[in-house]
Amino acid sequence: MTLRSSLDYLFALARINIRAGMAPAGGAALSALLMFGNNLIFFLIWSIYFSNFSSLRGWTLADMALLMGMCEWAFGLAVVLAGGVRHMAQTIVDGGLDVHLGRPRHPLPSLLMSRSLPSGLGDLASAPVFWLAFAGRGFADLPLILLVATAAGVVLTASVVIMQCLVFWLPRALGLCEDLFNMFLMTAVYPQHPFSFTMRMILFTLFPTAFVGFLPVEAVRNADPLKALAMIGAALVYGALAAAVFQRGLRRYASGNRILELR
Amino acid sequence: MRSRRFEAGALWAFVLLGWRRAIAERAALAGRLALYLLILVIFRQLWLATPLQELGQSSPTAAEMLWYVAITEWVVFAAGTPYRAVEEQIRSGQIESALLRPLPYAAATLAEWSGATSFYLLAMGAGGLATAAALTGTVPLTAATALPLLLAGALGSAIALLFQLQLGYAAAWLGTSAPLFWIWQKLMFVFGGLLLPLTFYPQALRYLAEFSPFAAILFAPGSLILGPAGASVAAILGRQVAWFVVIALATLLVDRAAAARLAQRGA
Repeated sequence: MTLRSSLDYLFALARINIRAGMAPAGGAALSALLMFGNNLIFFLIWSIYFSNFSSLRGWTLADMALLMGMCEWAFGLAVVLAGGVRHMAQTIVDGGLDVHLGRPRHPLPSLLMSRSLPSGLGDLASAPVFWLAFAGRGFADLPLILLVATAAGVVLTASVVIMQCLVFWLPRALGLCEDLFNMFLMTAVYPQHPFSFTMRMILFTLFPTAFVGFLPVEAVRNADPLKALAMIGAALVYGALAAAVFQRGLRRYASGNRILELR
Repeated sequence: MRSRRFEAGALWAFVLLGWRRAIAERAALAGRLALYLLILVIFRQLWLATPLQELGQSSPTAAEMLWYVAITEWVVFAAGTPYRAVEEQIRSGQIESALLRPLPYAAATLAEWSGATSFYLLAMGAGGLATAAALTGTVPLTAATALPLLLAGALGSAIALLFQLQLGYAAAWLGTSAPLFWIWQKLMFVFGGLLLPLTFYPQALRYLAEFSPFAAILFAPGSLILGPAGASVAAILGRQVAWFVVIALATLLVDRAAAARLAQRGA
């Protein structure tokens, strides 16, 4: 199995997944549009905040726009390309992994790329608007922004995979998985620099939302190559960790006899 | 007369069902509580880092701001997102059998949600009270303010539930309710004053928000903790009741339209 054939497989999966997720086109476009509007409305709150206060411990509205753009890109990328991650725990509990285990490749990519959520397109579309129009960044900043935001998307996806894998050990923890996911997003979209040292340590390790919002913003604000490298490192480490946890969890998986549905 | 009494008894049974289900789903309660407390911790740090003195002499303290968020989030978490159940019933077609019951579907659904929300108002209220008190070292509640606050919270949640039923019904037309829910949720953020009191808003936006139903859901109970600016407690509660009536009538219309659509086209 060469790298070329693996990439071909992933591209084919992505193509089919996105095509299926975007049908019907009208509904998908509406979902994307509403998500775009949703992001703008949320930003309005921060506009009101910064019309009352000069800064939030050094951060201004432009930094907030940068942060929101990072989270939108990371989340959009995750749910458009790997939307299956949102339903992974349910799939595992229902025995739906059989379908993916029956394939000649590793089951994780096909599981993650089994769905595509069209609302994510609204996130992907709004991120550049936030970066260029609201954060005042130029086109020259885009390569660095896209690099760290994409790494943030990998960390986000990997973290959600780890959370959803909980059901391998705790099959009744479906609700907990959803709550953890909501907590993860909730923490990522707020500025984390005023947090205490202990809390920030947690956000850089156990609950790595700092790699989704805070660190990518700091990498761009300070044009710091070390922080950008740290982002790439985090994407690799959490990606590998997610694959390892999933692999470990598979040993506990009980079939749902779904392979029969394929026949 | 007898059928009215029978209906009231059936509705009460649905209220109890919602209450008991909420008690039985301990994991859901734990998850909601954890998320609520996390928000309070985040906002404690944010308000401590905010230069509130820039607002002038009458600026609220960081502790008061946290209590405001604790109240508005309390209402949001107590109501939850029950619209998903209606959306799922429409998508799966299960609503067809529910519509055939002698008790109106909307009434039964709202009764069940009311039971669950009542439980969550108490449970989340206790959790929020303890956490906000621990984080700020203050308790701005007195015997005189506690009852109006509880009433305003319950009325706010009731209006939110009516909205959620309408959102669930949207699936009869759109196939999904989620995109409309996001917009509604964000309108609650802005016009309801979920995170920032409406008194922080520019004049025109503040005026617009104060006369929206979203302010009746969140800002009304939240403003009681900050001290009502120019409005008496009775006026705040009165405005909530007025919005409850308006949204209830709108829900009735949506309910009829959705039932007609489902009868005509199927779920």
